[in-house]
Amino acid sequence: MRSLSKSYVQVQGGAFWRRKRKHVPALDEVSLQIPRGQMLAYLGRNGAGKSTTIKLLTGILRPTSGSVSVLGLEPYRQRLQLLRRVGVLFGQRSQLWWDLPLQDSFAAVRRIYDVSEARYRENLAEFTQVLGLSELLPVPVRQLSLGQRMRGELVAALLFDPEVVFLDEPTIGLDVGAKEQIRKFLQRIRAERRLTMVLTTHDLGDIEALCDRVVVLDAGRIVYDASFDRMMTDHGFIRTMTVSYEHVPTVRAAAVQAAGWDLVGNEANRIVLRYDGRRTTVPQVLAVVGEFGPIADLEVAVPRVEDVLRALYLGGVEPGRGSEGGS
Amino acid sequence: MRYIAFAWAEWRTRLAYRAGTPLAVLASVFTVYAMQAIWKALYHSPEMVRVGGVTASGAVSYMVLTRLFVLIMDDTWTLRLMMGDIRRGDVVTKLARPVDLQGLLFAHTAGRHLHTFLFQLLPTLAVSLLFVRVGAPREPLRFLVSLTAGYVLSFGIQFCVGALTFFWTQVGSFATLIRVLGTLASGAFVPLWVLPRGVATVLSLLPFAGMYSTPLDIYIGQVHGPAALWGVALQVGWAAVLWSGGRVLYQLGRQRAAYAGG
Repeated sequence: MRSLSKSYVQVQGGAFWRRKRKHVPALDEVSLQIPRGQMLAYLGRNGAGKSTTIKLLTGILRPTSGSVSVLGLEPYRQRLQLLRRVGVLFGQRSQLWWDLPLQDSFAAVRRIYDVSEARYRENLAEFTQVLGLSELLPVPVRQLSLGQRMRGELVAALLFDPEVVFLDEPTIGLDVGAKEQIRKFLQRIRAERRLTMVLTTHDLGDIEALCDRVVVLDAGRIVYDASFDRMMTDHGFIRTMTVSYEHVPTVRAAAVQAAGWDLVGNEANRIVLRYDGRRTTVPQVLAVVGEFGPIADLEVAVPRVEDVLRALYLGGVEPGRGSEGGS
Repeated sequence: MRYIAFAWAEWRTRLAYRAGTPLAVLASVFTVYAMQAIWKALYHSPEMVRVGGVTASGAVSYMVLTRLFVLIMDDTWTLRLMMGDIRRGDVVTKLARPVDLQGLLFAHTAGRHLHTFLFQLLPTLAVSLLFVRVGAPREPLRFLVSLTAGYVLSFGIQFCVGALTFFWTQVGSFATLIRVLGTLASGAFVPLWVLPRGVATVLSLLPFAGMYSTPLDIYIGQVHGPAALWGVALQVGWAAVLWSGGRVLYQLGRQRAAYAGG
């Protein structure tokens, strides 16, 4: 993608013959390169432009400006050629045939993508076995649970050996067990077939388990692009220390402030401190808080992925931070 | 092959709901019975012995077959599917397939109608023949060509109206208007030959006439020879125009489409 933009026309009232129209940018000058075999997490708040990007990459939408190329093809103009080599899963929309048994949907996919009988059987056997769908093949899609259906959607998106797969929120609304099964399946498929995958998700477990690289989108612009590890190193440095004392401590707030830490909790015999883990070590903190009274217990928490992402979404990160991704 | 997969899937889907088919056949038989009774009664009145040069048996055959064709030609499933899918954005699941949307929907519709033909139209005809006589087609080959052109034309009208949803999400009222106009102008409600000559001539030039009037007039022999050829040519012309028009509308619609919400 090079300077890719997409804007929508939004009608905002006015008389029938004189509608007020406003151009709303969904994607704004986005440039991104995804190397073959990479698993990219494409993140952002609702309305950030994630799904719009997927639709542009699959030729469903036409870019307003900029250029895009997938597998050397221009998606909008060469949609039919491209989609023979690209799998898509829309977590919020089903691509299976609602009233047909799962096996009939898969058989239809085989015909649509012209998969040889031998390859079809091989893939179907492997996928259904790994995803635990073998027993469900004769069951109509409408009778499947959400988790079962989503596993079916995944099989349908991969059955024809695509080179690139776009997964738009594949674990949305699923329980922990179903998510885990889908993640393990994707890890296995990716390792075996060296697929290029783009995953949009709000689920941090997906990112942690699957993705090499994280791109964060906000209001149609890329605000962060780095490897998962780099993201955690760059933004996962805030430590939260909870210190419990044997009795009510004599807290010297000035000492805490002088060290450049935040005292975020102070109640009864417990205090909570937040500090920069890159500049401060645990013994340094203990040297100060140990003077407030005899310590009974302490706990140091590292940020969770969601904390880091929350900070990224809320604009705490300058665009362009992190450069491993190659955008 | 790719498109046949969609026809096959729709055919299988319809088979999944076969329990409702006998009731649908029963409803169609009632309609056929009522229609033939009305037209027989009309032809018993002294004022209407040979309207437009058509005999009572020709008129009854025409109306009975109309009721059968309605099962397929008047099925607005494609239109409703398009209106709903485009408005909700679900059309993205079809656009994510390596097939042309127009071809996909035609295949879908054909799969559905193959089921209707075999399990609803033919049984209705078989039962109806117990109480009404339908003559054989005068020019079978020309009738089949005309019927096929009429089918493509009927799909073309639905696709064009459906594709308007890309531009105007509240296309439903317009679709109803087109359907009512189509019913009146196609010869499905009353044959065009019972209308005043001038009105019939104008209506026969519109695409709607190709759905019922042209093939059925050929069937009963009301139109034959060069006139039948002209009728079929007009049908084919309209089918081509509507297919191409639908394609243009769809391509223009795709360019300005916006599918929000995942």
